[in-house]
Amino acid sequence: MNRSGRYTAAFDGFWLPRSMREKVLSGATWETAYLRGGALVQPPAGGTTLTGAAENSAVTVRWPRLTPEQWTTLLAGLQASRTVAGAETAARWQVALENALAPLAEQMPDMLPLLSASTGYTPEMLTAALAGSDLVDPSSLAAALGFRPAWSVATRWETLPGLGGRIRFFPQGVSARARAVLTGNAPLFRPVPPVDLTLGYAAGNVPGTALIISLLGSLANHAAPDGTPAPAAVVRNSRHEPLFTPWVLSAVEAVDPDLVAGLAVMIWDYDDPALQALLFRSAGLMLAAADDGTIAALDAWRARYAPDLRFHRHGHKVSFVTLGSHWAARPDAPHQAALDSSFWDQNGCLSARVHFVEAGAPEYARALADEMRSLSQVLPRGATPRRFTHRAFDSYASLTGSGRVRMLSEYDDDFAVILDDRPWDAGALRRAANYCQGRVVVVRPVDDVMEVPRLLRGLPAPNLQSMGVLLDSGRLEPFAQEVGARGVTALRSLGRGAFPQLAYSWDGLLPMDICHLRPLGQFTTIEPEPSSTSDLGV
Amino acid sequence: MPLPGLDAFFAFPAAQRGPLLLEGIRASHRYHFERNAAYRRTVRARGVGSDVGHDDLPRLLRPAALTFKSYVETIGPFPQDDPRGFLAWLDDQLSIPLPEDRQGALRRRYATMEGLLAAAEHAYADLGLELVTSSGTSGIASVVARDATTVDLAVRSFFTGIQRSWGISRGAALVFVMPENTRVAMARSARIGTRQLDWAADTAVYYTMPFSATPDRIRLRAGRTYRPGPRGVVESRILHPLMAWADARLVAQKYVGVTLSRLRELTAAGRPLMLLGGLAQLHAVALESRVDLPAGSRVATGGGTKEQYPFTPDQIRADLVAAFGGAPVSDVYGMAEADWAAFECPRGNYHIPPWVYAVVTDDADRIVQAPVASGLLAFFDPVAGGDLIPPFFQTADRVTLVNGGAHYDPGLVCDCGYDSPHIAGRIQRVDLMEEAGCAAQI
Repeated sequence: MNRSGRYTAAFDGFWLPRSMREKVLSGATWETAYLRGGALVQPPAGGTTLTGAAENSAVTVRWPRLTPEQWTTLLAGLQASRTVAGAETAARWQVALENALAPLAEQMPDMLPLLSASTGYTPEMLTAALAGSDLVDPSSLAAALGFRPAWSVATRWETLPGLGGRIRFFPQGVSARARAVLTGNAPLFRPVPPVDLTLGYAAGNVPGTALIISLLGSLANHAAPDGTPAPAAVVRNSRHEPLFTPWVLSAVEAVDPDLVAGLAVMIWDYDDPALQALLFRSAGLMLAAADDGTIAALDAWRARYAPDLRFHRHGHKVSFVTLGSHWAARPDAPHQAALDSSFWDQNGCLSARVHFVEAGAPEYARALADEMRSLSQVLPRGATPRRFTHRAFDSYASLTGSGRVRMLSEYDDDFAVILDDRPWDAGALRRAANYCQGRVVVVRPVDDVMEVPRLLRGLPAPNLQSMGVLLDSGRLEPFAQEVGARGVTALRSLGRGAFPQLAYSWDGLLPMDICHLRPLGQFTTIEPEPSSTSDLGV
Repeated sequence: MPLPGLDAFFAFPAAQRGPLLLEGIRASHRYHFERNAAYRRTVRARGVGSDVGHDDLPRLLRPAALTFKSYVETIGPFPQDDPRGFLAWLDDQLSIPLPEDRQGALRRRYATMEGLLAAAEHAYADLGLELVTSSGTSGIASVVARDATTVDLAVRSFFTGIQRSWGISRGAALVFVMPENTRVAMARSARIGTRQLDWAADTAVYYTMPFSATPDRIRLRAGRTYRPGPRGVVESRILHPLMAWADARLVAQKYVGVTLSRLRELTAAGRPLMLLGGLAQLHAVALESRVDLPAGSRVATGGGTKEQYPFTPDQIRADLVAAFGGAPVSDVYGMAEADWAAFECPRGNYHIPPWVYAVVTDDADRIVQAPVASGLLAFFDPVAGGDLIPPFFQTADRVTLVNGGAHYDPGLVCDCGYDSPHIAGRIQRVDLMEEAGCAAQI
């Protein structure tokens, strides 16, 4: 890839190991796309290819459309390139990512406009997100992969060895809960047979999903017998976010080519039965971070072609924030909470939607609105449609006549903050959560934070994800217990919503789940206060 | 300045319609701003007062679905449980006061939404109150009020379009693959129109869906919104699957049979006809049997496909053409919230009536200023919108609009000769974000 982009006809929106590019791409046909503001657009007039340097310019991206023979060649080549031992993979990633940081930082000025054009997020937001990315600490992965919980973790909160933070397993079903009580010391996990290929599907709403899936997918043989190589991995990336992952993988390849020699990040059509059948039948593990419709479609393919294929699903999720009554004693709390709802313009599952506040909700809402107004300057919103914000504004403005709804923002603000003190039922919470897209926060006063799990009962448990919290230490665990039982899978400090630690629960799954089997249920983790002094610059 | 009548707009020079309609929009806004509490609250929060200029136009647009489903936020999704609350909501939405003395005529609660809506219509029969609903997929019905005047305008608009765009006039038989008793707006306009415009006197009119389509049935059929508690369990576990089964096995069989029988009867008599229905319903008829319709007949589709359907609209249209002897197949685009419909011409464009000021808005809710513009369709209807509800709405349909709003390029007039704003190409519903990934709605 020509990083400056100025003289390149099209950027590569895919990634193949250097050793395989010529072999696979020889004679390939190409699909070209033009991306601006995070959307696919028509080709620029006159066929000019733009480079991302100019304001409002489109970036031209291409990827190969492989023939069945080329796919076969690719899969065989990836298999032949598996040389890194499964057990070493996590450590190799840690080293490689650490060493890749410097070249990535050097390339950043050239890449930023391209990433902004392709994803629709502003350069300021991308810069801040990448600045915070050292909070995604790959070194903790090694500790997470060493975690060997017993059934006792289903009966109490336990400390994650070497990581800090706490964990609890919420098993599904009465018999599993009974077993937890009866067999507390028995291991929860059991190994799975080694995997030759991991198949991944990544949505493009937030940058980097394909990278995370690539990394996690490569860990599938971490617990396999000595000498078992890491699996090959084929990840289907989104047409809307084709540049970030190839960029990072190229930097990783420069550091450790063997680590990524069995990895391909491609774009192909879902509606290609022959290819899907080939991939599903070849894979031993499938990971997907996508919308529920896509996951349902993948489930249908799986039922048809490979019913035994292990499948980790990451679908529609919503996240929240809860602040205990002492929030006012933490002057930065509204700022941190504002970050949780501003990153990625609530276009990702990690973004906090409703903020539950135990005391002083009107004051909090005002302070939050001030912070979100400031953030709209230093962390400007991207291409997420402003009409989402307007729709929420309109809907709640129409309710102000009741005296129980207050608007803390103006129609023309880049965000909306609403204080809603009406009686709530499950439907009201669901509607509020659904309105909170495009930097919309509904502040909900509660008399006691333990009302929050009761309210969450009205939402589908599989759709719950993270909870940003500011609670006294003595109240944290009982609160986590209740929201975990409702389906929340991660609790983390305010301001860290957009930066989950891979080592902890992602939608109820731990890194250990990649290479083990366990009973149905979900892990909920309480992530520790970060020791990192990372400055997001906002 | 009084606005011309509907027919007069067809003769009015296209380039001059814009200024005339803008003046009408200003007057209509002023009228409703003074009288309509819900509208005033919304636009005032957007910084709009009683007098507006051209730049304020986007701020007058209310999202149609949000407006007519807003009862959910005040009384919940089942207004039959709170009839007085429902009337209070309705009163808030209207620019005329609802006489309060009728509230006592309503029961404390109704078993069904249909029961409530019928009772409300009965209580305000002197106003000619009609409560029409959408056939949306969420199961939460949009409830749109019309009075005698707006009903009259809507049916005249609808039948004017049928005549002008498709050449169907009195005398041609009308076969509606829809229930006669329904609140779905277009079906109701058809029923009222044939009656009110006296088409039935010399036009054979048939409704071939032999079942009612109440909002409650539509909700259960959609299977996305259920009553709370045990009743909801019964609805979700028993009634919804039962309805799905009955629709597939019994209803379809019945309306397909009735429709084919009517078509054969009219064809044998050599009588031209218009066959109108939803894409999926007409497709079911077409797949069952072939009938060569008499010359001068037309097949009209409407409503898009509400659910996942294994055939594309193009495939369905091809099947319809083949099944009905090559009769022209055209589509109509309309919605409960609009007192107008856009009829597809032979060039495949959807013509919006010339008295409607149609625009498209971008993702930031700004009007896209161009003679060919893509975005979400929005419309101002100061002529046929009536005095009941401010007729300024933003739809959730992404379109390419030609010669809309203040823009008029004579070179872009549709080849069919109908000189009005028109939608070129496909109409796409954008309720959900494309590639929403993990962040979509729950």
